[in-house]
Amino acid sequence: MWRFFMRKKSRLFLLIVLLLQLLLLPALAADPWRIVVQSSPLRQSPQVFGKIIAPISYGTEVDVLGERAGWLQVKVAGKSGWLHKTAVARRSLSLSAGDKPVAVAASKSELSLAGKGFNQQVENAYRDKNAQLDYAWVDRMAQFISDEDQLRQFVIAGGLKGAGHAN
Amino acid sequence: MQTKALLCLLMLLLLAAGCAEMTAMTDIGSQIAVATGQLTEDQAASLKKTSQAVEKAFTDITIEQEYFIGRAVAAEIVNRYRPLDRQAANTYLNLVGQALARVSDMPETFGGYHFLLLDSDEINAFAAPGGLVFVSRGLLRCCPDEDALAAVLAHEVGHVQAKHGLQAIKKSRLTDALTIIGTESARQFGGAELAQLTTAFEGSIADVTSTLVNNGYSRTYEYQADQIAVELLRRLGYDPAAMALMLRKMQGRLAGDSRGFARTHPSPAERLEKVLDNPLVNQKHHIVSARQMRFSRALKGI
Repeated sequence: MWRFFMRKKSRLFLLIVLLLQLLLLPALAADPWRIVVQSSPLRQSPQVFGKIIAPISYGTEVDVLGERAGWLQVKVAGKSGWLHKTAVARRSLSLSAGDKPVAVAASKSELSLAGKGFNQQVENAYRDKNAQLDYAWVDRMAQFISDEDQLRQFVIAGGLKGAGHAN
Repeated sequence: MQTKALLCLLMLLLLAAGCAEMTAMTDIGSQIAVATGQLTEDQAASLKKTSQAVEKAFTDITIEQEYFIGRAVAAEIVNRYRPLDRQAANTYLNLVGQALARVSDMPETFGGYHFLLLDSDEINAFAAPGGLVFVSRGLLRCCPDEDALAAVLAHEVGHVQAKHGLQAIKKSRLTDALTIIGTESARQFGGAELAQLTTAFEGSIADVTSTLVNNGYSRTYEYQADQIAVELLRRLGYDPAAMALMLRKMQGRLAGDSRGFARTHPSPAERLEKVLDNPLVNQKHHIVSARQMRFSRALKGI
C-alpha cells in the first residue's frame, strides 16, 4: 500500500484529487450549526447549572466561536454564551416543493429543518395505523420537567455537586 | 519527502471536507486512479465500500428521529405496564434522574429526559431512546436510599447515552428508510413513500421493544451501562458504593424470579463482580441524612 504512494504516477493521482478537492470546496461548504433540540439553555458559563441567559429554540442558527470540554462557546440572537454540544448539529434549511429555501419558522411540532426519515408525519401515520396505541401518558410524562431552580435547589439541598451556592 | 507531504495534505483536506464528502472524493479519486492504471476495479470498489460503511452506522439516526422512535417505544411500554399516577413520587424520580442526565455525556436530547413509575411488582426498568425512562414499583422497593435509586436511574441514563436502544434496530430497517429521504425531511411525503417509511418505523419500534421487554441487552451493554452509572454517580456527588449495594439487594430479591430483570439482564452477581473492580464502588456505603429524609417522604406508600 505504501509503495503505491511512492510511485511517480501516484503522485499525479494525488495532485489531481487535491485539485478536485480545492475546486469543489465551495460546493462542499458545510451547513451551519443549528439547535436540534426543542429548546436549549444558553448559559453564561460552560457548566451544567450555569446561569441561563436565554432559552434558544429548535432550528436557530448559532455561530460557533470555540469549544471546551463538551461545551460550545457561541453567539446567537445577538448574545454570547455557552451551549452543550449535544444540543447542536449541522443542518441545512428545508426546501419547499418549488426548491426555494424556506425560512425556518420552526414551530415545535413542525420540524421544518432538513433531516431524515422519521418525522411527525410518520408518527401520525403510525398512530393512525395502530389505533390501539395510547400516547396520552407519553405526552404527559414529557411534561415532567422540574424547572431549573427546582432542580438546582434539589442538588444543593442533597449535598450534591455542580450547582454551586444557592442564588 | 515530497510524496509524504502531499499525502499528509491530502489526508487533512479529506478530513476537513467531512465524511459524506469523503465518499464522493474517494469515488472520483478512484475513478481517476483506475483510468490511469493505479488501482484495479476491485480495489476501487472496496475503497468505496469502506467509506460508505463508515457513513451508514446506527449513528445515522438523527436526534429528531431518536425522539420519535423513543416516543413510540414509550407508548409500547405504557400499553404493557400501567403507569403509577403519584405526583410526589414521580416528581422526585425526575429530580434525581434529570440531575444525573445533566452530568452525563448526553445531557440534551430532542425532548429531554423524563422518568415515570410503573405500577408493577416486577423488578424492572426500561430506557427508551431519547430519554424516556420507566422504573417499576418493584424495583423502587429494592432501593434503601436515594443513592441506590440514583444508581438505578444512572444505569438507565447510561443506556440512553450509549444509544443501546437504537443499536437494537436491525440495519435493514434503516437502509429501507434511508433510500426514501433526501435533504427534505419535514416535507410532506407522498403516499407510497410515507407507507414505506411507516413500515420501516414499525419495524424499528418492534426491534427496540423486543430487546427491552423480551431479550434484554447483551452483557457488554449491561456492563457498559453499569460503568457509565458509576461515573455519573461520581460526577454528581452520589456514593458510587451504592451501586454495589443495589446489586446485592437485587441479588437477594431476584432469587427464584424468572420475570423482569431476571429475564432481561445478566445476573446481579455477574454485574457485581465487574463493578467491584472499581475502587470507588468497593467501599462501605455512606448514607447522607438530608437525602434520606426526602427519599422517605417522597416515596411513602410506594
